[in-house]
Amino acid sequence: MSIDTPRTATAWRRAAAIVSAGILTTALAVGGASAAQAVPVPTPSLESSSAVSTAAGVLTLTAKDFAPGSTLAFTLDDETLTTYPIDGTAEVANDKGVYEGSAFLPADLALGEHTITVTGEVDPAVVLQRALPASASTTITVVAQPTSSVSPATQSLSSYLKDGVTATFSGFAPGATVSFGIATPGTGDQAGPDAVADATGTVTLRFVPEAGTNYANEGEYFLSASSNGGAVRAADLTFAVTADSAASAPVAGPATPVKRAATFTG
Amino acid sequence: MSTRTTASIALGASALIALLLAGCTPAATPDAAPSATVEAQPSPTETPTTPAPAAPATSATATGATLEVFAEPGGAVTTTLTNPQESGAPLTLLVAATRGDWLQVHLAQRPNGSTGWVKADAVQQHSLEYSLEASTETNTLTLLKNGQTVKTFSAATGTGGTPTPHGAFFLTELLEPTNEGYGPFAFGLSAFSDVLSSFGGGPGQIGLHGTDDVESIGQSASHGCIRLSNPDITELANLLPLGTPITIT
Repeated sequence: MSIDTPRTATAWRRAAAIVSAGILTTALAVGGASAAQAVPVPTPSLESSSAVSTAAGVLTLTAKDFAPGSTLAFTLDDETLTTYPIDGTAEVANDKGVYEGSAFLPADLALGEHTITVTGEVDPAVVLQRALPASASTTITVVAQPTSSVSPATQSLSSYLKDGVTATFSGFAPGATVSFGIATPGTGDQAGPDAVADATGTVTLRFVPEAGTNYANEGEYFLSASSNGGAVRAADLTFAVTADSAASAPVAGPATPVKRAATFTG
Repeated sequence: MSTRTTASIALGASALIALLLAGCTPAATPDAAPSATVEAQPSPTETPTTPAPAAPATSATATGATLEVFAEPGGAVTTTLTNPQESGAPLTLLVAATRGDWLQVHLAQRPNGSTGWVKADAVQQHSLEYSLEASTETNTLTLLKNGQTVKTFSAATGTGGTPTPHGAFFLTELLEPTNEGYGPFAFGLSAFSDVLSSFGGGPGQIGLHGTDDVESIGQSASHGCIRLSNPDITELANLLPLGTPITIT
């Protein structure tokens, strides 16, 4: 993590000098040079929930020491990175100068180091009578996504409800705690209890749906596995559940009439 | 500077579950939030551009002396039906949907269109080749086999005061009436009159039967039942199984 300039280091030093000069002038005006040295320059910071991630991973980003109410903008390398606030609806620092949001890393993100930067404003009440741009960065390392497979990829509904599916995910860090998810195009849920990756980095999930839930019907489903709070995600996989065939049922024959009085409406 | 929002859209529904698993589902999301990205996923329930062939219907005939009907799979018992029925006919229902070891069935009870769930192992299933379509506008009854029209009969349906109810129903029983007015055969339907709560000692159940009133055929003349000529109802009685679906429009 490092503090960076909004434009250049030279510009930052120039701004800091102006700030210091302003503070010094103000302090002298109220009667003492020692007061100027006690005023700190705000130092915003940015933290990622995980330093290691995969493409399509989810990170929780925490920005601190920005001006309360400051609008923040995130970038991943040189591209805009949209985040989704944990509280509230906008990428804005709260009354303590803190912002926490979730960021989806792109599915096509290259392996290696990447820099996430947040830009906003520092507290004008501490520094100057106007907002001062500032930014902070953090670095993440993108690693290869664990591989995944599911069996069977397609099956009938009755078979699915009885036996479920088995998914295998390989490539997690040995000993990593892995969480599982299942989703339809409209809903998502945990697919079972967390599991610990074995010495080879492999975890297995057997998912048997509970009758009556969103995941106990015909259709297409998505399974996911992740560690590090969602930052390390296995490649997504899908499986399909098809309707049961009634072809095996024998064809019904004509009804046998019952001799008795009818009481239909006539 | 380009944007990364398009890349996150490709995450689709799986991204939603990722948020859930990360324990950080946004309380509310901006326009480009994951809820919007769901649309990027192919929908398994996408409406086909051309109608698919009608799937064969299936009947479910109780195998025990009673049949429990549940509100939902594994849920509470809402009613217990007797087998055979009070008329003496075997208890046969029309299957609406299948979910594992459970069948959703149409029920012959008020209100019209009632359904419930039964255990698949409590019934014997049969596929149904035939179906019927009745029209109160044209006073006709069409016989179909595997979705293809076989024959259209002239019929009598309800009058304006005692209309034949519209909806999707099934044949519940076949009687060889010992009383007059119903011809040689009378099918019971899972439909009930919307205006007659009882009729002739019965609960106002709609029937499909013959008649000696030949003049009424082709007219809106009945108390809600669908009347056919005696030869026509005899033809159907020798052909149709219980559970056969009938749609009335």
